[in-house]
Amino acid sequence: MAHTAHADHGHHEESFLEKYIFSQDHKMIAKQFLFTGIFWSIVGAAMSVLFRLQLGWPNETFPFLETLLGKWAEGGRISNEFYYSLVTMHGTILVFFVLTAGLSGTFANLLIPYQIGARDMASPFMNMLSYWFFLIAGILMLASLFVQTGAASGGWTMYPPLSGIRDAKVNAGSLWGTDLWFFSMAMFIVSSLLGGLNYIATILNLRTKGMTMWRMPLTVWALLFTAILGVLAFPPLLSAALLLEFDRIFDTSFYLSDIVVGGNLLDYKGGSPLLFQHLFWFLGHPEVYIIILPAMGITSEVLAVNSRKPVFGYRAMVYAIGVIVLLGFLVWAHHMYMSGMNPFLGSIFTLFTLLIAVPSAVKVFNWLTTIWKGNLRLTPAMLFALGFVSLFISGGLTGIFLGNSAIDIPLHDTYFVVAHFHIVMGVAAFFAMFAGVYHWFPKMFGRYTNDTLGYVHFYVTIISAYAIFIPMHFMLSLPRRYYVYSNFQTFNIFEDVSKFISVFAIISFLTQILFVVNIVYSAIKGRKLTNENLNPWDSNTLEWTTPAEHFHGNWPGELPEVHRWPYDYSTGYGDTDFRPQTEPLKEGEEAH
Amino acid sequence: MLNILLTLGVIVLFYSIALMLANIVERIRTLRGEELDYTRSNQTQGKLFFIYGMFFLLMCAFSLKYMDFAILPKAASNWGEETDNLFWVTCWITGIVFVITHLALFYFVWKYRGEKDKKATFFAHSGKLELIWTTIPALCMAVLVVMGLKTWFNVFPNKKTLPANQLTIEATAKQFNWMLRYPGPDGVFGKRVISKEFISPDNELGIDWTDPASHDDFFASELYMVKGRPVHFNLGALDVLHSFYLPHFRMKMDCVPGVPTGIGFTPTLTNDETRELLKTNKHWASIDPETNEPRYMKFNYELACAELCGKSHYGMMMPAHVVSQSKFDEWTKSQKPFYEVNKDKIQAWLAARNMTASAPATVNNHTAFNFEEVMQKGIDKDAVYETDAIEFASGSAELTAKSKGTLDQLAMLLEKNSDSKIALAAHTDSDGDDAKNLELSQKRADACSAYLATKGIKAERISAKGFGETQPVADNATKEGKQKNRRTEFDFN
Repeated sequence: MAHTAHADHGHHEESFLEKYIFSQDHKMIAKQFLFTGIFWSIVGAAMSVLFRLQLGWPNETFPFLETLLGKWAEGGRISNEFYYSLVTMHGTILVFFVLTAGLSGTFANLLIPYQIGARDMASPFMNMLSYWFFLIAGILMLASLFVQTGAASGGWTMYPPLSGIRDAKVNAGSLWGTDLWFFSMAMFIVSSLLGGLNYIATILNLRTKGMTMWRMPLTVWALLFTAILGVLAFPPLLSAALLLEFDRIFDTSFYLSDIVVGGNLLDYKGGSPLLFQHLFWFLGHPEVYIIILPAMGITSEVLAVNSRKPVFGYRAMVYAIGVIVLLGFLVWAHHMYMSGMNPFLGSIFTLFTLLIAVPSAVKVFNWLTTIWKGNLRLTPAMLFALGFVSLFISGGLTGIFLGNSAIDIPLHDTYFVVAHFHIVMGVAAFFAMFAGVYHWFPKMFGRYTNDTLGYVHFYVTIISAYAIFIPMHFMLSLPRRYYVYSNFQTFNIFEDVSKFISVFAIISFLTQILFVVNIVYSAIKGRKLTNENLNPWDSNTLEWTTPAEHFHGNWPGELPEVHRWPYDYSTGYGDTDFRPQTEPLKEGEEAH
Repeated sequence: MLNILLTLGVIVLFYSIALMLANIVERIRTLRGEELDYTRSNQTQGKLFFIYGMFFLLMCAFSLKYMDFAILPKAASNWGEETDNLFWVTCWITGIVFVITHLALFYFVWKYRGEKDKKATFFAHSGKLELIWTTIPALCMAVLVVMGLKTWFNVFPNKKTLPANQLTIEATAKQFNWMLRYPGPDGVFGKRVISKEFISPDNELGIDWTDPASHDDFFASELYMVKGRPVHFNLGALDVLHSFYLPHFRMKMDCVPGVPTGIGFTPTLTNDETRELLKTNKHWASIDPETNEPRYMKFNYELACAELCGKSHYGMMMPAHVVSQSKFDEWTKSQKPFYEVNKDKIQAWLAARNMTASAPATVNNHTAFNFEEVMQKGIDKDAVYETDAIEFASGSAELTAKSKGTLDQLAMLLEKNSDSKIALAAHTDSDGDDAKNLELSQKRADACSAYLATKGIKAERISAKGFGETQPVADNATKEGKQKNRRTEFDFN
């Protein structure tokens, strides 16, 4: 009886609006997040190309820029005000809209119900709201690019007083652009809280029979910890933003004090700009882990499947993520060593920050051991996962410099920092996202991507990403956020290097378009996933036990029952080198 | 417009061709039956990844060599030498890890590239291995933390013992330049008052021109420091955040409106000495087409802003010099005090505020308490020190953290001058009931003396009295006046 009931469920007729627009189906919402994320990554990356044009060729003019941008690029050269808006928007868009919502939104929605054996999220309606708040946040942010005084230009960290004084004399971007930035951020935080609570509730309550916590794939573990981080860390940012808006609109003094503009003392008294920095980084640092944990989860899963080996040290991997989450809340002030806070705090934060290197190192060594003595299938997804490991090593090691307060004195706010965080949380997270898209594309769209384009995408991207950021490590005395370097003889020495970096930024951008072409084309015309081969990567996890055709409810019959952990690859039992989680243990087979 | 359309056309064409080619390759692979069998592509990709890996490591090494010119010469300050040393130690440790892990990654991918009849080895965990690679990073980190904190506390010591010959400079940042104030021959900065009365477009810093100490202060358009003489910067900002950044000295500290910050170091290399070092740098040794001379000849240190402060953030450049004491003295003499140069303007400023320079607004023997100054010059037994840095929660006698800091300083002074006694006096403004004010001020004075006693100052050396609102020093009708009247005074005898 139950069987027919569920089968009916599968044939429930959904209208176009229900199915594609106001969908409550986790798979469709995952696609909505993916495509919105792709839209934002193109916008964000295009911005970086624009400001790389300025940095690479500060003395040239590009008439087409004036055609496109009007007063922001008079004479074909981006104005300094617009440059700072671009930098600010680039950071905001990529950190929040792409690497938080685009990455977590896509893969938490896609993988959580699939991999724990649930028909959908705990609250499909809340899940839908989560996407729509994200979309509204995006529309507000996009709108801010079109206001007359320009988009927010105080840096993505929005430090007051620069962002706190609503005065065009101080900063034109701090007028309506900044208001819209904050409103957009508030919507975004609502979206991320709705999503996060839902992910936690789903993972804790809707696991199918036999799916104990210790049988969950590492992707789900990572997404669980990510959701916990988000739920705890985003509210302080919301309050911080609200208080800053009070300062801006109602002239309160939470963050402002003793400010003199044009020789006139303003009325603010008693606030501290440092308070905002504390509140901001109390979110801002966990935010880094909100970005990187899902990336780590995806990498672990893709490496294991394609190495035909279990992830090495499964439990250690979970504990490492747990320790990272815990320490992630205790290190925020390492962004503030030079902010003027009590230097004694700096010493404590140095200790906790360098401690994070330990679980991170454990993860890297475990990944390397996972591929050791494997039988590697070098699919595009696998190459991107390997690329992630390389990038995480490169970017993680430079964190050891910056986390040490004494070395941070010279390095703080220089290109060394730019190189560090772009590699470790920008490019690395993107690589994991690519790995995830290539790996689960057949599940999402019922078709395969074009491997050749995937390989080209991988090699060109990793070479250009390193070509952009390796040289930046050596620009370690150059302050970041400089529109031109020519005012300083010390900094005006990077003409060739800047051009080199800009050229590779453009190459990298064009290659990402190739990726978009690949997935859009493949989603429509790619080779089909057939019902004879529903599990193309010979994977153990539950998502590959669902039929090729999507319907709300995932499994046509009963929910699958789980009998083992997800990493029984090459155990020596059975006639294939993988044992799906739904397969009961044979006699003599050991449970993990 | 046509150009843009054409460019778009070319781009679309480019991607179409790429897609077509890729489709052809995929067709061939399908015909060969490779699309799901990665055996053949594993061979290619395994080798390709390894080649890429070697190329990557080579390019990293090349980058290190090519970018040599971008690494600044030897640090020009005592702390800079220490942070550089730490930087290179970290470089070695992380560099070794970087090379080993990457070699392992590239080698494993090549060595274990998949083949049809090969089998992966089931190896799920090993407590021993995991223990090893938890312990080794932990030990490395322990070493780096200990080394780092040693340097950190050298740069920012917990207890401030001021070097006798320290040069103190005040640097205030605003959009988009630096205001450098030197204390002049008397070694004391003129007082600054943060109030609407004092701060005006012609006196952005709010300097109290009635304070005689302000009369010899001068503003410098270039930063001068003395080789081997400790220098300390009192940092501040008027409008937004800025950051005081001296790259060659490896020194940096944010300038925050409303929050005084500071940083100190000892310059170790003069501009000439650093010019000498730059002779071997390929950029600085190259000929400047404008002057037809090698670039290092015109080298100077530079002060930069390192915190985004608005649209001209990148332009806050100020040249910096490290010279010998005699040259520094010469330079100091050539600098005219601001008060002298702008006497007329300042007189007008004073007149507009009913003030006169000869008769300071505060009673003669009242002096604003400046701990560093008193520490350096010794206590003045004739002076009555005033401070607004001893404050209390409104209506209570509970000391704030800031107040405790100030009292700690007093305790240090009393320890240093073990033969002197201190008399504390607490005053309030006229708000509220007279008797209650008197009572409250007595409680406050007692709280100060009780706190000093906990710091080991004997009770017989402390006397404390509350005066309530009986001794105003300014008009209680104005807000500023009230603020002046709420104060704590003390004198040593």
